[in-house]
Amino acid sequence: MKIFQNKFFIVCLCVAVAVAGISSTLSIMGYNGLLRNALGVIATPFRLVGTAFVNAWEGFTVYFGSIGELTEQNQQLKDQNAALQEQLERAERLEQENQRLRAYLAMKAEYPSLSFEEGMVIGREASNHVTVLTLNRGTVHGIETNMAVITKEGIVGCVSEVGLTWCKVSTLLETARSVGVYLPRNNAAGILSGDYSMKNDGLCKLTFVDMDAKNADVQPGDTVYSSGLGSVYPPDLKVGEVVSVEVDNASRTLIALVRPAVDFSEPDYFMIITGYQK
Amino acid sequence: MTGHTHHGRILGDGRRAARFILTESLLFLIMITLQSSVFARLPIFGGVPDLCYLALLLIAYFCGKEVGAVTGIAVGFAVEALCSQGIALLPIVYLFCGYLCGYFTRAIAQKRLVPFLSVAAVALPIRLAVTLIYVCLTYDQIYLLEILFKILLPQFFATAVFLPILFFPIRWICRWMEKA
Repeated sequence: MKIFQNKFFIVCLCVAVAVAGISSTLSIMGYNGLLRNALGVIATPFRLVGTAFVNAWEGFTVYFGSIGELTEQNQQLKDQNAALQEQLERAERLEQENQRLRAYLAMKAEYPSLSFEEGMVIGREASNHVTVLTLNRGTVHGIETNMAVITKEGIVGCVSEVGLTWCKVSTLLETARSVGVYLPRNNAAGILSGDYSMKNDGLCKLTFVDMDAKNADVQPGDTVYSSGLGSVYPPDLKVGEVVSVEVDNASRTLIALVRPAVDFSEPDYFMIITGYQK
Repeated sequence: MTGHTHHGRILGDGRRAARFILTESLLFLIMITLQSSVFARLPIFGGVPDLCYLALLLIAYFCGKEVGAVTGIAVGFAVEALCSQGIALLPIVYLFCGYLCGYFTRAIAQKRLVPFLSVAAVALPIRLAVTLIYVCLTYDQIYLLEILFKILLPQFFATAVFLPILFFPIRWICRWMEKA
C-alpha cells in the first residue's frame, strides 16, 4: 500500500518494532532499562499530585455522600439508645422492687409470726408533716381497720379507715392514736401518742407509767419499742428514739419526746400486718 | 491560521521543535497521570479512558502524519513503561494510528470537531482491539461477552466522553505552537 511505502514511515516502523522488542524483552526478564527508569522518575511527582487529588476527592465525596447513611445510622442509634434507656429504667425499677422485696423477706425472717400485705402509697396528706397516708389495699385484700402498718425501720401507724381497694393509715403523729411501748434499757413502760403541739415538729409524746420525776432514768437516745399491749401493734417493733425528757407541769409526770423511726414522707410502700400470733 | 499544519512548520525550526517536544511531553505526562493515577481509581462508566491515545489522535489530526507517527512511538513507549509490563505492542499500534490519522485527515482544511468524530469512530475500535489482545494474553479463560460489557464498552464510552473535552485545549496548544 502506497501510504506505507514511505521512507519516513518505514524508519518509524523499524524504530517502533525495535523499541517494542527491547522493551518487551527487558520487561519479561525483569530488568528496568535506563529510559524506563528515567520516565518513572519524571512521572513520579505528577503521579503523586494525581493521587493526592484523588484522595482529596474521595474524602470529599465520602464526607458528603455518606450523609444519608449517617442520618439513617444516627436514627438507628437514637432508637437503640431509647430502647436501652427504657431497659435501664426498667432495670432500675426492678432493682428498687428487688430491694423492697428483700426488705420484705428480711422482715418476714425477722418476724416469722407476722403476716403482711404490701401496700403502695397513693395519697399523702398535703402538709409539712404527713400524718395520714392512703394505700392501695382494701377489704378485697383482707385489710381491716386497726391493722398495724410498718416498714423495716419500724411502726408507721395503723389503718384508720378502709374501703374496697383503699385504706387510710393514721401515723403515730396523729393525736387519736396511741401505742403501748417500753424502753429495753430499763424496761420502763409507757404510752406513746400524738400531740397537736408537737405534730409540726414530727414528734410524739411518751407518757410513762410507774415513774415520777425523781426516779427518771430515761435519756435522749433511748430506743422505744412496742410492748404489744392494746392488741393493735405486735410487741418488739421499733417505734422511735427519745429526743428529750421533761416533766409535765400539770400532771407532774415524766414525759419523753420521741421521734418516730420511720420518715413518713419517704417510703412509697408499707407493710400492713394482717395477722400475728400473740 | 489553519489547523492543517505541515510538519515543517513545527519541526523545521530547532527552537520551535524543542518547544513543541517540551509542550507535548508535558501534555502526555499529564495525560498519563490522569489515566493511571486519577481515572484508574475514579473510573468513568466503569472504565478507564485512554487519554494518551485520544491526545495522540488529536495531535496527529492537527499536526500531520509525521508528528503523529513520532508521537505515537514515544507515547506508546511511555505508556508501556509507566503503566504496564510484559509484551509491548503500543509503540507499534500508536505509530500506525498516529500516522494513519494524520494521513487520512491531511485533506481536511478546517480542522473541526465533527470530522474528527468520524476519525475517532474508526480509531477507538482499533484501540479496543488492542485491549482485547492484551486481555487474551493475560487471562487463560476468556468470556467474550463479559469482556465486552465489563472492559471494552466501558473503556470506549469513558474515552469517548473526553473527546470533546480534549479537542479544544489540544487545538489551542497546536495553534499556539504554530504561531510561536
